[in-house]
Amino acid sequence: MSDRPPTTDTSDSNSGTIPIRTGPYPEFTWTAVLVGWAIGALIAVSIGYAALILGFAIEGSELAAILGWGILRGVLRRSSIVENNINQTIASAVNGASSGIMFSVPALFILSRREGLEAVADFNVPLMILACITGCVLGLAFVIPLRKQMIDFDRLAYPGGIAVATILKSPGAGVRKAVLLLGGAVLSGVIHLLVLQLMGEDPNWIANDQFEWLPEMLNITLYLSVMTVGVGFLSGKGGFWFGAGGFLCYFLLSPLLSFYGSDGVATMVDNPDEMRGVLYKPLGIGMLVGAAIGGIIAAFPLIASAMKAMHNAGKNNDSDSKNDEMPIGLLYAAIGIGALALVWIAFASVDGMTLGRAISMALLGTLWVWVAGVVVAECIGRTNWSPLSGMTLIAVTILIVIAKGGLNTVETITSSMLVGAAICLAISQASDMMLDLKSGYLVGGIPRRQQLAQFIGAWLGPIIVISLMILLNSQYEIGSDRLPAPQAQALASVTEGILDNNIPTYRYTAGAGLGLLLAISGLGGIGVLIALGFYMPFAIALTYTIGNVLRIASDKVFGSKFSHEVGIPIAAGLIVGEALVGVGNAFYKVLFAKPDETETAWLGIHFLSGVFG
Amino acid sequence: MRQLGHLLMWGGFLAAAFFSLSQLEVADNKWSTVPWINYFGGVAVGIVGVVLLRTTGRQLEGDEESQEAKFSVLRKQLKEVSSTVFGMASQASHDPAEVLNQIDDQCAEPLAEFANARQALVRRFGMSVYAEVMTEFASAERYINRCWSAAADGYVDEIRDCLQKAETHLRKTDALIAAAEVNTARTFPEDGELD
Repeated sequence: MSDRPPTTDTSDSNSGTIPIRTGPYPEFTWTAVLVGWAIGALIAVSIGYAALILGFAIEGSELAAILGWGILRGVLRRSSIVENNINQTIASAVNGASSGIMFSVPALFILSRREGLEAVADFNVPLMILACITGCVLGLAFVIPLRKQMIDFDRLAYPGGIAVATILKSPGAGVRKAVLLLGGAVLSGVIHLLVLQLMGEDPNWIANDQFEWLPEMLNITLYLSVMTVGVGFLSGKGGFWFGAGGFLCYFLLSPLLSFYGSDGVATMVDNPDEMRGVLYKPLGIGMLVGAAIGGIIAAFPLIASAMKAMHNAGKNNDSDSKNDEMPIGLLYAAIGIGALALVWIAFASVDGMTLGRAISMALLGTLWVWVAGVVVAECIGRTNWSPLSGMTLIAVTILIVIAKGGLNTVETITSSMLVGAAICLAISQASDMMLDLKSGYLVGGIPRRQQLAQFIGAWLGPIIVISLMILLNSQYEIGSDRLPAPQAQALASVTEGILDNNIPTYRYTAGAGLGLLLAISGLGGIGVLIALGFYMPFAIALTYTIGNVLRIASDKVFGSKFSHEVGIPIAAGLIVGEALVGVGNAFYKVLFAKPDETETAWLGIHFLSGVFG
Repeated sequence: MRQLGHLLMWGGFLAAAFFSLSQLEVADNKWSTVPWINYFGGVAVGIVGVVLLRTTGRQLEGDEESQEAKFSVLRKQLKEVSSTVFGMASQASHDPAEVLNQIDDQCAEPLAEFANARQALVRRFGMSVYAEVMTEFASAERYINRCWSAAADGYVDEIRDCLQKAETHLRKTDALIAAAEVNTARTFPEDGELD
């Protein structure tokens, strides 16, 4: 890591637009690390706080890239695209904790308000932070070989990664592309503002409201988000099966079930939201798991080749590959140490834990991180959506089933949520890292440096976000009207359901068989995509399909060069504009609509004075 | 046969999905919610479809002239991008703006076309060779991308290094494909080649 400044020649290049610089190209520098930590901390606190109020976390990579661009290029006068790539990798790694932790850990505070479960809020905070950091390490280690398989071999689209790379490359992409990117961002931002103004927090256009003759079961609803259209455009025809999964549910299965299903199901088909919650989503979760396992089996030769290439790179001292790839030994060490740490964490989590049970929880948890890592890496690569909540749900189910055999309810919840939070963080970091590695690929970043950057950023997030969460809970009570934490509420309800044996295991199992069937069909990626179509709201799949169709039409009518030169910058802009307005709206709501601004500021001062004595 | 394979696979999948969803939870015996015999019947039909798809797929791949055409595209695009990169790498000095334009105008499309035709490698040489070739190709593409970034920022030393590394990886890509072709010719000699 060096911050040695390059020598800048005053003589410009022949075309007179690019100043010539000699010396090393700045990439992994202290400036990138420090700015990455600062931006990451800022985004993690903001997005984490907003997530507790609004119920969803916002992907921070685009924001990190833009802020990095402004600070590194605008304020610090730095001049390296790959340095900003490292900066945004670190920042988004720090922020990765906000979505993972805010979905899982607050459930403990919410459950502690139930009679008899008060003690679950007294979990060991340093142990929780350590569990989350361990989860980050495990998640990152498992996706290292997946980079080769999914980015180099399968060449998955990673639409979010393309958007970030378009931002990073904007200084050299020329005025035309910058205008297209900016135009897309402005258009998307304005439309999103209008949607927020007119529709509020439910940006769905339900066709049935206007056209009453349409059968309700078809669920023709559009998610009014041009960002989603942009994501569909960037995914191209590779994402087609995601939409197809939704069509299978509501255009084929729902009509069939209305005629031939049992009375209860036939009545339910006219309520698509209930159909999704009770039937399609659980089946989709099972399908995701089955498709992932089938995908691992089908892709085994590629995974083995990726591992072999990494081994060879490690043996060959002279090769570039050795400098480009993370040493394979480090990967094994990270998994080994991570798994051992998870055993200790599970063992130390509650008094009644036995070593055998701790080992079972940790090993199954580690194995699950691998399976779920494959699922999220593929889902985010093909569609930009990660089924984080579904994968965490399965993890918590597995852990509770192991724990409740010999522990009381409080101990079962505490230990399962502690290890479950680690797994949730692992999955969250895995998806963030794959996305960043794709943007890295597109700007020419060195994978090894990016992976190190992700490790350097990942440890900080849990410390910041858990501290913030404890602070907020002591002041406002997580789960109250002020901080409803909707995602964690959902996990808390599911946890109670699991404890009461009230989970649709039979539906998960049936789904797993279906996912496996599609995965072995040899039609690439179809299992995970159709499963995601079952799992996600159809409104999103429909809007996403519009983007797919536009890309296919654009490639066919204007050629793929046009799509690359014009379509991709606009689509990336659509993602960026809506994401920024979304963050702005979250800030606005947090500051002006929910807790009092002054109170929030005082709270921060009290916290800081407590920390620094 | 391939259409029949599709029909059976999707028919089986839909039937099994239908049976998985046909009832709300049976309170006193949750596992009986799914009629498993019907479900497995659907899955079995789906598996027959998958087997048909995979076997006919293999035959089609063996017969299709389009595979040959795709492989030719792949070789042509590799040659095109290699000649541009080798040309740039052989220059004594590099003007960043010129490098940027050359990559945009002469490398981006052949790289994308090569990637689009990459499945021809799997069908012709198998997964292992595919992985080796794509490892080298992806490294070459990444260094070309890095060269673009360095050119956009004006770092001439980095441009030179990246072009040299991209050249090395492109040569390895070409060598691996050539070696695989020789091996395939030895294993499956064409008629008369043995004479």
